[in-house]
Amino acid sequence: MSKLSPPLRAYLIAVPLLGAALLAWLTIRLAGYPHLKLIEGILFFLVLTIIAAQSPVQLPRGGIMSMAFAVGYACIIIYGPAVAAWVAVLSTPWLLRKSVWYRITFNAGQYVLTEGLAGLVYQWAGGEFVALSPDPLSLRHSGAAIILSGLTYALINSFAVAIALALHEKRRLLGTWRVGFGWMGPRYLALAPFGVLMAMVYQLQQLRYVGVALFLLPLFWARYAFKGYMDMREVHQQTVEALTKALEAYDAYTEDHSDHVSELAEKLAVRLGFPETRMEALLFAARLHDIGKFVMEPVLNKQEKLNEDDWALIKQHPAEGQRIVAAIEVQPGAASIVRATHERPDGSGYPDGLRGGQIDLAASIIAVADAYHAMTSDRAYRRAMPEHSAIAELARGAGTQFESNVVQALIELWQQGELPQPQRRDHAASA
Amino acid sequence: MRRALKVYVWFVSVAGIVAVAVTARWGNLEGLPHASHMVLGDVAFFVVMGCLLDMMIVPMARGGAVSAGFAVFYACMLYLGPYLAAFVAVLATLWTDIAVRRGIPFYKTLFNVGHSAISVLAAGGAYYVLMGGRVADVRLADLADVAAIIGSAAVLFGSEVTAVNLAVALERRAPLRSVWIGNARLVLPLDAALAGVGLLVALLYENRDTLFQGYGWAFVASVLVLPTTLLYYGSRLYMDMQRVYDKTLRTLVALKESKIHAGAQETVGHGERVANLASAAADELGMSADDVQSIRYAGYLHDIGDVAVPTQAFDGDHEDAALTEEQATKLRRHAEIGHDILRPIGFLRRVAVLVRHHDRRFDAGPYGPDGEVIPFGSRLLAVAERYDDVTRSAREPLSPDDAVRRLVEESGSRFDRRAVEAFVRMLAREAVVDAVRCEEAPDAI
Repeated sequence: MSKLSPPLRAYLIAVPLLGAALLAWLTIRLAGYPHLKLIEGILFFLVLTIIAAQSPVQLPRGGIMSMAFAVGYACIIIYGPAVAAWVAVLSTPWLLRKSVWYRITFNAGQYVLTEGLAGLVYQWAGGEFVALSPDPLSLRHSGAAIILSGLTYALINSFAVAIALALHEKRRLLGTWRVGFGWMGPRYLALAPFGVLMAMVYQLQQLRYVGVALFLLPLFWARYAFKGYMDMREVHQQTVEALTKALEAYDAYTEDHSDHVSELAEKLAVRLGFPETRMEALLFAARLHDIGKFVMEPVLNKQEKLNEDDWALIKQHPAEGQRIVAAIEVQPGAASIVRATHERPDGSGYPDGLRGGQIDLAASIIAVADAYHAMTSDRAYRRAMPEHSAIAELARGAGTQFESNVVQALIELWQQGELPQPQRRDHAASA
Repeated sequence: MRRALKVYVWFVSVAGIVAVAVTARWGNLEGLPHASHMVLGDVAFFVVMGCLLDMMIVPMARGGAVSAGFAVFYACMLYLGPYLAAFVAVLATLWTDIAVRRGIPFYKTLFNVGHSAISVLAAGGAYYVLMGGRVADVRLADLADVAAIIGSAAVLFGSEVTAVNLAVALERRAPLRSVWIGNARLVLPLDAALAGVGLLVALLYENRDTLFQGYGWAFVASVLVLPTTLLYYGSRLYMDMQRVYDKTLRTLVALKESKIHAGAQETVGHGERVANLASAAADELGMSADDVQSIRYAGYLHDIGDVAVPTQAFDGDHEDAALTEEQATKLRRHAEIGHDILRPIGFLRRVAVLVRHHDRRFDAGPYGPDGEVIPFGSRLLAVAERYDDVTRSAREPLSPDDAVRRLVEESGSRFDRRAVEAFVRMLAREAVVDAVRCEEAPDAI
């Protein structure tokens, strides 16, 4: 913890303290309620939370997905803030048992605040707690409370995490929150109905807890399938990487080229505010932008001067690349990017001769990254160019050969010393 | 279609329809506890739910599929009794087959309708017996009720699985027992979860007025539809991903073949053919779905080491069975390199090992250079590769029958007997070679 910055340290201490205070207050308020029933609720939801949070599904661009939110939400509606907060405190150390202690205390505090406050909002808005009220849950009566407390839950939870992230990475709070909430928001929305239904099912007197368990069983199978899907996606990516690299290694000079191009393309895309939702497609296309060349090997390796037919064939390689990428990609999007990586803003590119605005930004990013890396690395027929000459070359082509704002972004990266440096890094590694 | 299968399919179809007709005419509807206050709305609710959920065929990773309609039919059997549940099942099955799976032959639709009606009626019968003569009265007061609920779900499950797998066994000429156990084990967990939802829905529906005040059907529908949709969607994604993965391997291997061998006729499609042949032989031996999959992937990828050490398919050597020293070294290295390329991918660890040993001679012993056991899959790959090499040779391709003769000659020395035997049996079943030859093969060994 001593390595962390002072504001972050203060935040990581403040959250558990606030959580502890809230928990104490909530517990004192419980005086008049049936204790046995509350303890029963804590035990049941503790088990459920631990099961629901087991091996969560890892999402492709960071973040995780689990049923824990739906379970927590149901717990609030059924038993109220105090039980939900106690479940959070008791489950967090077990769920994060492999983490450093301050991560455990922070998250326990964060969950207590989230669930406690969401529960208080529910109560304040007139919501009835299913287990403690004699009447069945009525949407007419508690509907507004359900929605308000769900919103509270999502806001507090996402902000608590975003503040820690922003302090840690010294980024702006609102920007960090927006990126995080971009994928968390829809997830809350999709899971919230499951929380409400769980509370409804709980009311079934013949079954009670068994009913909730029966309701959750298909969801666990669904989670299992989603996990299989995400794992398979990962494997797919690893396989494509390993096999294309093996194919690349066949031509010694392009070795690692696509690694560097995708690394640089990602930096450019982040700087240009490229939408996070299309990032995966961009990176996939960057990795495979040259794959169409593999089948043109005989022409490319020709000793004599290329004739017109050869050129016509070469100009087809992005289209060939599109065909191959379309066959191997998980989600559509990368193939058409690959097709456009040799287009130019002035319309002199190939294969379609597109002009400025018609060219996908993703393709323009890859074109610049590709050209930059090609110029700054050694080839059989010439030595690597120094960075500044390559930059100057790109700047000359801005607006005609390359998209101006992408070149501009590259120059900015260079000025801030953030360009990946393939050549120099190799020397450093050998030193 | 085989005669026995035809007879069976028609029998189930006719029996199912007769059973529904008989119960509709003479079934004791008056005895149902809900008959007094039962309205058309209840039946309509279950029909709509049944049609909706029966369309969700949840595919499963290791083969097989489960229809989410199972939950509705079970709930309906518990709440409305077997006669109306059979009616709902018939309508939902008809709807799915006619509206969604367009173009399937009509006798299949009849068969599907027949077996779902029989299964629901059988489950209803079990419930009736176990509940001591009561139907459509779902309650959970004592252990006998629990037994009736579990017992009738088991009958519904068992009867569905048996009806379908008997047809599969007849079609494949395989023993019912092994087909049944293999398939039931796969679908049991999902069907158990769906039966749980069914029970929950029956109870919620019964208590909908006190619990949900007026908009009960909407809540019950959500409890049915939301989890099953998520399940359906997740499973579909997973299955689609597996298909994409398979296609990716095929595409990249084809790319390698065209790049490195410049499209030589005998090598294009070699990976895919070896994959298909070897995995079919593995299937023939009844190997597990995981093993068959590993063998198929290894078939695609077995020559990936070509990127570093191109081995032309050594097809000229079938006159003199031995490889030259140089060829043998090359083969060894390209198998090792293939292994090194694949090893970093955790998922393909077993595939990498299969690739590493795919060129080993059987008489070189059961152990690799590091003392590891050479997997049987590698033996199958060796046979499949040899078969493809000699039948596709650019110089003098052998006919399938001659190729099999050669494999049989080399079995026990270059190739594992069991691998050759399974391979030849598979070819005979696929009618690639004469059945006679296949009968001879085991004797020749």
